[in-house]
Order: sequence, then structure tokens, then C-alpha cells
Amino acid sequence: MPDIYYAGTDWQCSSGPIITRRYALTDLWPTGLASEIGGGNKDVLAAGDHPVVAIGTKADRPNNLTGVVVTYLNAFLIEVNMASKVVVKDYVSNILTYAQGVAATWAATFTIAKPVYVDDSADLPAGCRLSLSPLNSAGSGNPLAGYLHYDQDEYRNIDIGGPNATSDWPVTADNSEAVETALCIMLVNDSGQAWATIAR
Amino acid sequence: MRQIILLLKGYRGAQLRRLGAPEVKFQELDSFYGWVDTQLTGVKTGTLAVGHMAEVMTSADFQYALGEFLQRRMEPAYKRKRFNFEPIVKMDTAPNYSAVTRYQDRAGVDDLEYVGEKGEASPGSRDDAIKKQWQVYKWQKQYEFSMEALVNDDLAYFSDQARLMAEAARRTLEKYVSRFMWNATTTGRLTALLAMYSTTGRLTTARISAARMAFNQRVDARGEPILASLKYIVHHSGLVDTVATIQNSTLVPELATNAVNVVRGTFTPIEDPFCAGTAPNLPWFALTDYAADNIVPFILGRRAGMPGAVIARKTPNMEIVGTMLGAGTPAPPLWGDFETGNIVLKVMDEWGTFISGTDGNMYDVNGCYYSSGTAP
Repeated sequence: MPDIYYAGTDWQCSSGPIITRRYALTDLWPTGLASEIGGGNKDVLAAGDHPVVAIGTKADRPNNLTGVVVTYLNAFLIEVNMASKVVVKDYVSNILTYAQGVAATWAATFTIAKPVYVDDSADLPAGCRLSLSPLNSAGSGNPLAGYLHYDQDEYRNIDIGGPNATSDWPVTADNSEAVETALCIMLVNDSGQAWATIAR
Repeated sequence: MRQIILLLKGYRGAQLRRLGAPEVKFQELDSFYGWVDTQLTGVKTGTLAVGHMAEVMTSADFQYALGEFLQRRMEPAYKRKRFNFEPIVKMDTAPNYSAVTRYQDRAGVDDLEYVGEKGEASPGSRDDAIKKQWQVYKWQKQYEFSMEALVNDDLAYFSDQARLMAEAARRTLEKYVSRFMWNATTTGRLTALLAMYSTTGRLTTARISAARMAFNQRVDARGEPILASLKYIVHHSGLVDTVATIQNSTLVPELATNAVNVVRGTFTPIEDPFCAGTAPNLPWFALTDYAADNIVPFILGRRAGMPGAVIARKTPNMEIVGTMLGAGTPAPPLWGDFETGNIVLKVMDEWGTFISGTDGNMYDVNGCYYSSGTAP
């Protein structure tokens, strides 16, 4: 149950690409107080935090821009990496669907290239904003953030003398309850177009 | 000196009179110069007025000027333990990244046979050579810093970044070589070859002797005896004292009798800090000396022209063409790239080894003897 944003200095899982654009805190969600469905709180964004967030008004969901916070100076000057295919690490919940306002199904494993969405449901703890559910607990579309991806040391590499006899993927979760795991996500930052294409 | 103090006191008194100072200031004047005069004479009067200087303001009174001072400094980092693997791996060089091929003749020719009078000698044969292939791969890691992070680093926290990157390259290589011995394919192969190539026993003089005798009975591809001598024992870090006891004891340390310790001084121990194990089940590995016996247990290849790790910095795509400070004013030296100010460093190395689905990383199984160290 991560109550704070992923804090490791290993949050960057690829060296790029980097295309930064500047936003204000009010443009980003869900982050901070009363940013969950039902008024619950997420962790408060601060310098050194690098959460994956959705951008713009929620009325446009699920076709929101998404990105990862790179630097935070104050609530009005936040640099967000908007580049497509950059890989970053963040907490991801295994929630697949909601029913009657609460999580109903969960993935038994996290698998490579599984779509990851920015989810403002209250079922996610304060440090987690990403799930596998295309809809939030209120039935609104979640913006597509990206796809689960390997971390740099999670490949099977024994065949070239590396230490891993097997891949770390799929990553074990639990199909009977919510599990939040720090995983790498390849961001797409495509205004939700991929999601829209799939949904329609 | 006391005359000078007296003159200074008079001079300061005249100053205060001219400034119209209050009476209390003149009392302070008496106290201060009286105290200095007393210190010079060495005569202690015992009176409070001239015996002490009263401190009226402390550091706590200066919350901005003094109160925000913080001494920050870095403590020395840990010292790293190394795995000095060089004696147990033969170094080789590849001209490029493609696989290179090595052949070794691992058999002689036929024994001679009796030929009768007017008889014809039977034909002999010669075995094909053993073929081994390996190639080198690139091993790298890059680090990206914002220019601000480096400029703000008043503790010089990142000043040894290059050294740490070079150390990481060496450590990665040491782990790579360590896996030659302990990976499941290598140990599984030796275990399958049974007692002449493996045991489960913990490290004792008797076990080392058994390994020596196993090497002593090595044969070539045709079953002919070859020269193979135990030279190195690579062991878990928890076996250092066990090895020292065996190496220093003139009598067999595990026995109450006076049996002579014949393995004392016959091998060179090498500690492998990356060998995994939980006491008392600590593994060890015996090896031959490839330089003496031409039995190469493991091989470590590098690419020609790339004998060690190198560190590179991405050249900033920005050139300072002038400043607003006037001609000749030097520009600050530290800049990152044009777009983001990022500064990127990379450490690079290249190496490879023989890798087999059957033999693991053993280039020649005859040079290897493994123990899981699980049996008492």
C-alpha cells in the first residue's frame, strides 16, 4: 500500500526520449488533496517526485494527455516529460475492473505490454495512480498512460553470461485482491488516441 | 605595556566625553581596561567588576548571521572487496564482435601394435580437434544529470562518479566471472560427472586431497593420462579461516592423530565475494593452472583495442558564442545539452566467454572440480 509516490532514484528506465513541457499543478491529476473520486487524497506532489499523471480537464477523459513529472519547482512551474516511448517506473495496481463503485476483478499477474491507465479511483492508495482498468470506479474512461515494460535488469540474459536464468516477467500479483507493484511503464503520451481506437 | 593600556583608556575616555556618553559607558571603560591591566600584572583582585568580561550577546541572538550555519560534509564511502579472478581465467582477444573459433587437440594417436614377420602395420587414426566458439558483448550503463544538480553539489557527492562507474565495470566483470563457476549449468554438469569432478563435502584437507587425486587421474579424449594438477581453490568468503587453517597446519586439522597435512601449501586460495551460500553449507571450486597444464577451465575474451572499461561524456550540442558581460569575459565551463541542460556520462566495457547449454561456462571440464559444500 504505497502512500507516497515512488521515491527511488531509479525511476528512469530508459535514457530517453525527453520532451519536456511546463504545466501547473491544477492541470495535473490525480495528485494532492481531494483528487480521488469521493474526495480522497493522493500524495502531494513535491520536488523529487516523478509520478505519471494525466493532464487537462477531467471532462475530456479519456482523451487526456499523459506524462511523467520530471521536476517540480512549485505549484505553477512543473516540467513534465511528454515524450512517447520513454520508460519510467511507478506503482501500478492490478485492478482490472470496477463494479458498484469498488474494485471487482484483479489480474493474477502483470504481463508485458499490458495497458496501464491513469485511474483516480479511491481504491488505489495515495501513492498509486495507475491501474489496469480502462474505466474508473465511477465508470468514466481512464486516460491511457502506456504499457508495462521490462526494467533494464529483468530480461533473461543467461545466454550471454548474465545473471538471470529466467525473465522476471510475468510479475506475480493476486487475482483476489489489489496489489500495487513498482513496475516500468512505456509511456505513449498519445492523447489517449490508442485507447480511443481500441475502445471504438 | 601597562602604560600603553593606560593611554588607551584615557584616549577612549576622552572620546566618550566628546560623544556625551552616559555614565554607564565610563563604568564599562573602567571594567574593561581594568581587566586587561589585571591580566597583564597577574594580580587577581577577586572583584567581580574587573575579574570577568560579561558576554551580553550569544550566537542564539543572531539567527540569520550565525544561526543558519550548517556544516555538511561527506563521510568516506565503503571500501569494496575485490574478486581477483585473473589466475583462473585465460585471457583471449577477438578482433570484432563476431564469434571466434578455437580448436584444441585433446587426444594423441593410437598405441603401437605388434606386427609379425612380413606383417603389415595396421593403420592408425587421429581424433578431430575440439571446437569451441565464443564472442564478446557490450556491457554499458549511462547516467544523466541535470546541470543544476552538478553545480549545486557543494559536498562533491558526484565528484567520484567516474571512479564509481569504473568500479562498477570491474565489479560487473567480477560477477560475470564468478558465475562461470556457480551457475546451475556448470555445477549441474560437474555433478553429473560424479566423484571425479564433484563432491558435496565441506572444505577440509581430506576433500582437497580428493580433488587433487581426481585431477591426478584426468585422461584425454582417448583415456590416456594427462598432466593435471590442482592449483587454485576458489571459495566462499565464509571459508577464509578454514582455508588459512588448512594452509598453516602441519598436521591434518580435522584429525586428532598426527597425520601429516599433505595439502598444506599445495594450492593458492582465491576468495570469491560473490559466491552465494549459507554457513555451514559453503561451496568451493578447485581448478588447474592453465598456464602449466594447458587445461583451460574458463576463458575471458575481450575485443582487440578494448582492453578495459572506458568512460565517455556525451558532447554538449551547445557552444557559448558570447556573454552579456563584455568581451573577454570567460563563460561558465559547465553546460549540458542545448535542449535541456542534461549532462550524460556512460561507462562502457566489452567482454565475453564460452557459453554452452551442456558445459555451462567450462571451456574444458578437465580443469574443474566443484563442491556444493552441503555435506558435513
